[in-house]
Amino acid sequence: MRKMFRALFISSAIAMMVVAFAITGCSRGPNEKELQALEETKSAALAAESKLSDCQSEKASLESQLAEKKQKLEEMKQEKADVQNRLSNF
Amino acid sequence: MKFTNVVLFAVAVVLSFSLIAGTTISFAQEKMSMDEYRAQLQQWQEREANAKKASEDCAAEVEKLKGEIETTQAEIEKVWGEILAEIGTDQAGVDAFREKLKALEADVDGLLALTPEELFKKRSEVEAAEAKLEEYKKDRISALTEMQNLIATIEGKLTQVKNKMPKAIYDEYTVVVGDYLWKISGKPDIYNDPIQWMRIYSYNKDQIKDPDLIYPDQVFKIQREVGPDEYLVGKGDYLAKIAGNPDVLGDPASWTKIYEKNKDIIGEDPNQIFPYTVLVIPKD
Repeated sequence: MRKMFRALFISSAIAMMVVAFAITGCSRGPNEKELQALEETKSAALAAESKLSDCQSEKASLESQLAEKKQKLEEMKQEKADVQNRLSNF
Repeated sequence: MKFTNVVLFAVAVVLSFSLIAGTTISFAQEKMSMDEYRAQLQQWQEREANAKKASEDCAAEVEKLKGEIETTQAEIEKVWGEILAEIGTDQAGVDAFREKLKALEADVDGLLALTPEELFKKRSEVEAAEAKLEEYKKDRISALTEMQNLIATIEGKLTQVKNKMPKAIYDEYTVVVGDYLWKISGKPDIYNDPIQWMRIYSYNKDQIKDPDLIYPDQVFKIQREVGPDEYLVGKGDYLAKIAGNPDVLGDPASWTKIYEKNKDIIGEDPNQIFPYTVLVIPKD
């Protein structure tokens, strides 16, 4: 009878340990390698977004330059007409 | 033995709960679940992919814009080249013309800073600046709007200079009892030289009909500077010599014009003119 109780205690203890390990084993988080992969992906995404931001800034600057050039071209055409008009009165 | 079994059982229970609790706490504090991990990984992967795609599109647009800027610049240069051809010069010619106008503007600024009396003395410089500006206006480069604006600025400043410049520089003297022209001319604050009475007489011809007859309270102008259309006769001068002076008429044969203009002060004999007579020089 005493042996039976002892066996029951030991079995219960082992069962609880197994259950505990099973619970922790089943609900595990990402391991180091996976976390590093996530970090690398995050860095790559941020770098790509930073590159995009730089490109958009350059694009905005170029759009502004183009607008100025177009304005200057219109002024230059007007200047040519004005000069021709003035020279006709020379 | 019974106690040993109870202790063993308790250790197993504590160890199990510790494992479960520790795992739970660590998840709550710093770890993520695999689901969260996968979600985050997917989110970053999507962001990277989107950014790369947008970057590619952006780079293409940047290249397109660069091309458009280059084309527009080329068009600007082409039109500018056509303008230069119209005015018959190159960029260096335009730059040189601009410098000439700016130098003239600086000269006019210098004149504008002078006092009216100083300006009167330097009226030939004002006339020279005007002549120079007129010459520049004949240059085809002056048809450029930039040059037109510069010319208008200089003209405005020249107008200010001319408005500031007095027509004549003179003091006033009020005749008192006992005065006569010789006496007035000899006063230290007048000419300090009695012989220059003729200068007072000729300069105030509108008031003095007879140099021997002046009256108290008459106000005479005492000429201090010879004006632009005036000539102060010096010793040895005669009308043909005066007319031949390049600063007067530049033609000795034109002496009759001077004589006609000053007949009332010279009198009937054009061969006899007196030093210190102020002659009026006809403009044409």
